Amino acid sequence: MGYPLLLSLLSMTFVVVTASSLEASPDPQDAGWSVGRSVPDLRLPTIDGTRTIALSELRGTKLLLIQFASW
Amino acid sequence: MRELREAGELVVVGITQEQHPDRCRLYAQWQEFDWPILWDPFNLTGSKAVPVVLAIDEAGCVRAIGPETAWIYDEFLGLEPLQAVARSEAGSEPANTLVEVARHAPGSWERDHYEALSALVWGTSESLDGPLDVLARHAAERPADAALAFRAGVAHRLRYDSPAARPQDFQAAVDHWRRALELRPDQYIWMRRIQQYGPRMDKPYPFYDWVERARSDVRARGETPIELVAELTPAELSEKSAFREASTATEPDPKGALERAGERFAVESTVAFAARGAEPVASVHLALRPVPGAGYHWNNEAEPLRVWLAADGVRLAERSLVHAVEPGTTLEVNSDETRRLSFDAALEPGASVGRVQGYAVFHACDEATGVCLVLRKDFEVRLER
Repeated sequence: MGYPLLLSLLSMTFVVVTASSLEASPDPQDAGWSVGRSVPDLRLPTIDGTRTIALSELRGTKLLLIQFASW
Repeated sequence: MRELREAGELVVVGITQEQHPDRCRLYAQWQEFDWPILWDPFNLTGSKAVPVVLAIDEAGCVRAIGPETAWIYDEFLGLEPLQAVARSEAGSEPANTLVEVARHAPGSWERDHYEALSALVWGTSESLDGPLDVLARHAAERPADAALAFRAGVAHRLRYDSPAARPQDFQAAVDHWRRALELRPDQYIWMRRIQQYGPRMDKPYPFYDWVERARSDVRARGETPIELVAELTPAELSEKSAFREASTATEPDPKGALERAGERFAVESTVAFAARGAEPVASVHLALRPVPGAGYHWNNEAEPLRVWLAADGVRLAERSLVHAVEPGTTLEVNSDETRRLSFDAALEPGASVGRVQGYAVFHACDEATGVCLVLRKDFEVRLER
């Protein structure tokens, strides 16, 4: 597993992605995001504030969840 | 990947871990992302670092973290769900609150906490003050809880960026984030929040240097760039700065002859020390504004506002004379905006305390009489680590 998919999805400025990728190994296990476990249910607003999405609403379809930041 | 989404075989959703959603909106507009992005300023996901991609099956189980593209096509799409798929009924989730609220008994501090978070995330409270007070109180009552400290910092910065900003909101945010990071030094999401406003040398890479290019590219496509609620400060833009030994700038009022602004104008300072490293380096943020109701505004027909800095036990990385509005910037003749500038400062070796004294020189007008004059506003910033 690695970052090629992330790069293709985000089409990000390479500086942003590679720099923060090298800074720390993503380790979501501590937060309950580990392989084989259910994701925590969260309902969050979209960045434009026009609607909300609960992760539970997305069940029934395969999902790629991208956690990132623009910095 | 787009064809999979269009065929309904795959859903892509983003979650951004940053304070300002409008910045992510601009980024998404620039990159032409066509999938929804959620906002998690309080780090409710608990993620410790980004970026990361999770492949999640139909039942909501994580099947891979950081998968490669080929694995998506070759394996993920064909995987059976690990559990029976239990799709939530429409309307079964709280419509405008966090799920966590319902998990705690009424009257418990946790219930109060998540209700306050809900109000801030969802904007359901008329005022930020009440929810912020709850988060700040919980952080104070439970000083060993790192997440509470981080969230209190986020709340303070939210109010700082709002019309209801209070003096010291920004400093309170920085202090809470620092406390959180002391408790959880491996939390890179939290560290980034400090580094965003910290000294340039503490940044592992430029954080928001992409903004101007994004705006330019978006305009070139004939679109209007998403407007930023909080404009970028110099501390958020440039990557490195070197400390210099002496200034060649000329002090604008060495004899102290200019009329003092007194209570007509206010200066607020925020000190953000580096998130990591032993060197006591900080970014100092200044915000200058006409005091509401005092009857004065900026006069932009003359020279721009200048700030003179004098260090005591501190080395300055910037010019001693800095401009809050760079020469050549076009402004309305009269304005009353808050003007912000930042500079890096380092305590002298071995020192734990230092001061930066300075003053702003600017042109202002009395709204009642129309008289315009040059004013001086003195300030002192204490650096203590």
